[in-house]
Amino acid sequence: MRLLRLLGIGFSLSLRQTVAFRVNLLFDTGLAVVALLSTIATTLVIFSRTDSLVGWSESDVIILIGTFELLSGIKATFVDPNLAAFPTRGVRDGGLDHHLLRPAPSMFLVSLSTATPLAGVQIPLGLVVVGLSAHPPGLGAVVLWLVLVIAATATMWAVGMIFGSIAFWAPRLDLHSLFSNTWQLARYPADIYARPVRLLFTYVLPVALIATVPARALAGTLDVTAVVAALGTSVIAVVVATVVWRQGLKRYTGATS
Amino acid sequence: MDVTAVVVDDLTMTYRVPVREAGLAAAFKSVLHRRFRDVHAVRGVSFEVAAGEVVGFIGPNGAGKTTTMKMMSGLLHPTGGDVKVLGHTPWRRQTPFLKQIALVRGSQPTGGQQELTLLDSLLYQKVLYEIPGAEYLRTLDELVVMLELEPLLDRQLRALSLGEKMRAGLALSLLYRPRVLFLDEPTLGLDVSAAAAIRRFLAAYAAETGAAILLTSHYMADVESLCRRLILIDHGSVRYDGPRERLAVRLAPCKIIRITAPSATMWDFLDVAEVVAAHDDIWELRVPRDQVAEVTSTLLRAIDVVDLSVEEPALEAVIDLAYREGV
Repeated sequence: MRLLRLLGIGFSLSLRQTVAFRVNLLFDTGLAVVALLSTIATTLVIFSRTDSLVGWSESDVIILIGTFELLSGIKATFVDPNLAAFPTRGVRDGGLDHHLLRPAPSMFLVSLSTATPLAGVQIPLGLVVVGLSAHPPGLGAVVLWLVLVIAATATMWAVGMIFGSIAFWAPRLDLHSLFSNTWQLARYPADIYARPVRLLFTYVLPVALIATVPARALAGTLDVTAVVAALGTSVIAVVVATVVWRQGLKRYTGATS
Repeated sequence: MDVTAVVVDDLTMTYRVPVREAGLAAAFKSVLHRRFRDVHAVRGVSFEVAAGEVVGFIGPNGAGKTTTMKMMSGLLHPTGGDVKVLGHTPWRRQTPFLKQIALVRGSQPTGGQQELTLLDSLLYQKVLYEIPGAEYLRTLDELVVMLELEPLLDRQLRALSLGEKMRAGLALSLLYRPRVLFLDEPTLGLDVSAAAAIRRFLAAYAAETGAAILLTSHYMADVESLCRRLILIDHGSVRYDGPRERLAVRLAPCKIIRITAPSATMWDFLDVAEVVAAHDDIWELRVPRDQVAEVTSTLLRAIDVVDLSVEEPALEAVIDLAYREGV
């Protein structure tokens, strides 16, 4: 509960600064809508030529787009503003000292203490797209989708933390950009990728299934194995992120005075 | 009540740093065969600080002050020895420990989000440290008065001047009333007035709360106005630990005799004492401690003296001597 309160106050304080910039709010909303509509338009163009894309129907792909938009919104709102600058501000400039002196888990403070509320406009947009495109799903499918979205969020946070923690060994590498670029692979059904690529981005860098698995839950094409794999992946990712973070902290000596 | 707040026992910190010789060949060679060297930043440091005590932790650059402070505040894990702060092992960074200590650094007075206003940052601290509402308001009111924060509350941290940032940093760190305060160069870069204001505030805070304060500073004005006890560290080892006044006795072999003698000339002091300064009929003479009485007597007989005083050399001069020549 305490961490939720901290997350809430961090978001609230960021929001207070943000609402002062109304023009930014308008532009960010406009850009997010245009980007989302262009993705949907591309999908509609593809499905004007075919009824199925590697087994996915048009409405299934729209569900995937909405789910990806939602997860991207969570990532851009809460994780990116914290972890993108971590190698520079946290490790190289010694800003991590400040977090380590505070009475809350350092992983939380480093990755979730501030937010960019404007990026959050993607979250309701994603929900609207999912809501409009899904065939009336049963309550079970919705609950399962929600559970898998939470698991995907945990996986996304953990992968971001692992990339961020590598800064303890190589502070000059900008791995967050690599993470953000790789993240875009989750926009499409995992099945469209060739097997080696799919295996790489499923088991080594688990982004391919991040939106695909929850979307399948609403589309009604999900099997138990995929559910177990998604939940297991999130647990393993969080454990690995914690271990890597703790190992990295042992190397941390801070910037000099 | 003499309660020990900080116990440092045989503390050691050794960094392993990569080294390579100059030149391109050496650079390529270091890719395959990395060589390291041990840097002994802190070597067997031991001391205790009681609750309510304000201790000056001084030493030249690179002496190991900041490294020791980082270990005491839990930022670094030592390679040897032990530290207990209010009974806690710092590097375990347990919540009850972190809620009772603060490390304020002159080089980074305000951490966290620089885009937030000071009042919003204080609000975040309230939630982070779980400060009850009434206590938060009471402490905030006190800090606003003592640190003159009223004009700063609605300004972003990033927009504050260095002196304002230091006041803001102290407010953020003292809002939860820590019982142990580590201050690393708290007046670094401040002008005379701002530094004096910070010193007045720290003296008042220490007197009012009974917090243990360990202070590093290169400004002797900080040390002289706040610390009755000094710990001098050099090359990672404690060279002196005791009352401030006794540091001069221990380190400086001489005293200063200051006399006012309008009719005196340089020749009067030849073979009697070393003249270190002369202005407006006032002469400052450096005299070995064991010869003070004899020299004073000689001067009073030989010269028409209007006024005479015997003083310890200035702390700054003593510490300068200690840094240059060792203790």
